[in-house]
Amino acid sequence: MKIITAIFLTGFLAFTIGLFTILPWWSFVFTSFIVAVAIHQKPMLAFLSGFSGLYILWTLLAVLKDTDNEHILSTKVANLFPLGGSYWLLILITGLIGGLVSGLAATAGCNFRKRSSFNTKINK
Amino acid sequence: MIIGFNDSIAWGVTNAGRDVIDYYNIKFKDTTMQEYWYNGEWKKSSHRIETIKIKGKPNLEELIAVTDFGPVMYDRSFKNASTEGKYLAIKWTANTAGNGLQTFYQLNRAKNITDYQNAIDTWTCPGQNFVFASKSGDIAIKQQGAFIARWKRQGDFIMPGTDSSYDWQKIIPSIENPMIVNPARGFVSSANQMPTDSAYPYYLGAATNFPLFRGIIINRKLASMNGITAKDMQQMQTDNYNVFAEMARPVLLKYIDEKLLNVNEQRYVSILKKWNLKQDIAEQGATIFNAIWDSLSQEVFQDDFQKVKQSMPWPEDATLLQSLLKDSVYAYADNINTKNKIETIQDDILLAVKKASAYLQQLEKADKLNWADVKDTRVNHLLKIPALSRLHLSIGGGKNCINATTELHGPSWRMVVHLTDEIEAYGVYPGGQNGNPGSIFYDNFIDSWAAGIFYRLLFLSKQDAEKHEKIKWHITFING
Repeated sequence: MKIITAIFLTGFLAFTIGLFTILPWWSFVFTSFIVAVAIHQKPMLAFLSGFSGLYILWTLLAVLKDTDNEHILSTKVANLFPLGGSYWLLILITGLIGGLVSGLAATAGCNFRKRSSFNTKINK
Repeated sequence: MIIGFNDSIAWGVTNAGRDVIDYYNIKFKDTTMQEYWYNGEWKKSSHRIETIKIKGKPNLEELIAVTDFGPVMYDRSFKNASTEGKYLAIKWTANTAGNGLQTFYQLNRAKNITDYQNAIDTWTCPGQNFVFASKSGDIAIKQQGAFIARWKRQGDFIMPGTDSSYDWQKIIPSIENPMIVNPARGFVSSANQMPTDSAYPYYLGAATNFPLFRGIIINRKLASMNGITAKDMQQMQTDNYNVFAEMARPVLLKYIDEKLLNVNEQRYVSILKKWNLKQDIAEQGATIFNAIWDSLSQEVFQDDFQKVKQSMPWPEDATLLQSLLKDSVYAYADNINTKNKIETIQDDILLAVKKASAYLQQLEKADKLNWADVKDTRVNHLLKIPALSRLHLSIGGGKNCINATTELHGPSWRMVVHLTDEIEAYGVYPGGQNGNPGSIFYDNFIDSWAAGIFYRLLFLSKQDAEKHEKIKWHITFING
């Protein structure tokens, strides 16, 4: 059940780095990368873990905040972008963006680990 | 919008509309703007560098020459069609120092009419009509500012800057500024109208700076009202009666020959006839009147403006109306583009009705003949982002109504203060108390404002504020 652990860690660390640092919104690429290095999976699964971790985190956070706000801001922003004022579409895209960036970071982490272990073998 | 009250007085301001900016044509020796011809000799100008920062590009440095009149606002590096590469220095009362904030600091603490006069006497720019009422029973209005003692029409156009003969002679002493205290008619008012009659010795600036019609209807209403309550004043502030249309409609109807109109055009004219002269939300007569009047203005002046090279201001509605009232033969009525025919006012009005009707028919097809739909008032976000603005507000009014709400402009802060023993004040403005577009309080007053609803303003003494049902939180500041 490596994938469940990876998804949870990706989400948890992204939340932590977002909450406790002043780094920009994409700072979770570091934690997603590290998770993928630490928990070795096939590239496809690594991407899926990285993607899901952030997708679930951001969607959940957005839904919680947006419900508190009674969709006032999200509806306005969804009018600002060509989304026809649909806050659901806005939340969906929010999750996709976070997921995609994190998934790519995790894939990079996965490949990095493969490459370094390959290099170690050659050097021996 | 600057307006206020305390436990003794209430006050508010409207813009004076006086001409306090002049342009002088400066003759420089050469393009370096080092010396200019002034009173028969070359005089050295001083210089200042204005740095304009541009994102991603080097700074733009503008060399500003400064003359006896003031800074040269238009020069060779800032040319446009109307300045034709002239060097124009600007002289403006706002360029002189003043203690403007002190006026409002004192007004907020004023107890009576003497305090009010002391507070506003130091006010310089921009010129304002300060209206005043006190609990002790005084009312007053004064047009106060640093106003230039002009001769007739001085400063209506660019003036020669080669000597001091066209320079300002002096600033009018504050005591000579127009003022009314406790008039027999029992009220004072201002809606930016001209503050004096022709007996006032100084020239106020172009008459077009002073709108007429709102002042007329406000004074008419105040003169006829008795036992006025705060509620009456609220209703008056949101009144949509168009006094300009009251004067202009008979002229239009007089010249319209209905035999020359088709069925549809006759129908619009009959709605216009029956119109109650109010620019209320659902009034179609208001739409028809404004469409015909605008078409008429175009019909009369458009051909003449096509021949004018310089940009000129379009004549005021009052100017056209006055000409139509005075004389049935109006020189501009002729369309100078038609060679064999001299058009009369009747011809122009007939064409205006026909053109307006074509437009009105389009509106009617789209089910948008109601005045509020045509006017389509909106409150823009500062960056003009539609998603953060409030569009298509349901509100009547117009530029010649007391509720002077147009598409983008209108009376924002409405306030009524009843100076009873316990101050009773009401207010509303088209906004909210939170600047965050994600807050429910960002724009929650807009609908109240549009509907003419006022809120009772909470005005408490320090003791009452300690414990009051409307006070939910207290912030306490502790030193150390």
